[in-house]
Amino acid sequence: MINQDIIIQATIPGIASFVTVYFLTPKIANFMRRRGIVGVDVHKESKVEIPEMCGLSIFLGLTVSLIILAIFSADVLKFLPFLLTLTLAAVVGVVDWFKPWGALQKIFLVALTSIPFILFGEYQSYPVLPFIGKLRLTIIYPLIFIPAFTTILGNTLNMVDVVNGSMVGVSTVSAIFLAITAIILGKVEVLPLYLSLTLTSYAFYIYNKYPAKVFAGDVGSLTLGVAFALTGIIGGLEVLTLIIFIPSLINSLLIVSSLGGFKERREIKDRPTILLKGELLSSSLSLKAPVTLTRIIVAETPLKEFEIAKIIIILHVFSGFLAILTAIFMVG
Amino acid sequence: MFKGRVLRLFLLITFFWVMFLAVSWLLAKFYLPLVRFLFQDKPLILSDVVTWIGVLIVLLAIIILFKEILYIFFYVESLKSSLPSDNLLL
Repeated sequence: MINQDIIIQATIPGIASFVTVYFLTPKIANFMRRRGIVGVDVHKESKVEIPEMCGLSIFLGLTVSLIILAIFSADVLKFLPFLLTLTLAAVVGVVDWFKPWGALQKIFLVALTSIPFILFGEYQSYPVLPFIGKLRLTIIYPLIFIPAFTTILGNTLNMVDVVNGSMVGVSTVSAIFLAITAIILGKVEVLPLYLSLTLTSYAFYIYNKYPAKVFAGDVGSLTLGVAFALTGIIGGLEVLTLIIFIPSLINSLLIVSSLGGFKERREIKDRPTILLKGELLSSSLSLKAPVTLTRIIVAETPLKEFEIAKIIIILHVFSGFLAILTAIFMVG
Repeated sequence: MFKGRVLRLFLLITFFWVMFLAVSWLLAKFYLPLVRFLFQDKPLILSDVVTWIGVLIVLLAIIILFKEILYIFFYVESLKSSLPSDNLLL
């Protein structure tokens, strides 16, 4: 049951992470701009330069919430493996900006970030599937499932960061729906984490929504993706997490299959969309361009960037309702 | 303006979700009891491995099927495409 203590423990870390991200993001953006760490917003006619790597504030916001959660917890070291894994994911993202990893390297490295969590984290090696129930995976779970789940979600969120506000918008709604499914399944211990993820993502969304003033960079998307993976594992919500991210997973599947393997975005010569007059985005005419969710969305008629972000977020809201239905089946 | 394509994407997502649940149900109803029956006198780890190999094969088959459906969906969407004539490529 949800009692007053849980509500307090859930809200304080969340509010702290929101405040951290809200106030730190502009400062980090100024810092990045002064040092020339900027990226061109390719979907604007003006080709404006936006500060990159501002997703560092997401990492810092989640760090603050984890520290507060550790203080509330009887075991202060409980969230240390989570924090260590997040830190490693953030490092992978930061290094990527200065010295880009290859696509396979990044997949492998993000998987490796889960090592502290595998060694010291709190999880049960029994993922629950609808109808099937608990699957016993004593050896496979820590050795294969956790690294795979971590890297799939980290890179999937990274791949959905294609238009202003899409990645953090998706992250915000997904965290809300996962919190609801956690309540349905009685997994209240992960509520504070989902609330922190919701408020952290939303605070960043304020700056990243169209027209974006900051870019999260790989540091932001990888940190959030890894945080979703670890929270899903702690709460035993692995399947529901995957259901909520169906649209993002569709995007990843399309990109990987249309490119014939894993490729880093810098290696992709033909972009999936083209910019038309009036800042409308249309599907690329190139046969070599990857097929992506965005390209499917604009295949019929061109759309504005904010409309594409809106559709991507709406699709995740829909998946969120399907996840709630699945959670109800699992309870029944 | 974009309600049609959103609804089509909703249908696609729902189809994937239904497929996932249906396969889970089929595995739970037929495959898992069969494995339990066939391996009842064998070590537990063996039945776990066989169960998982089955689940993984089914997952892989679903992913391949989804990929094909997604491509068909993309081509159908592309066939409807119309670039406004007053828009110039930048």
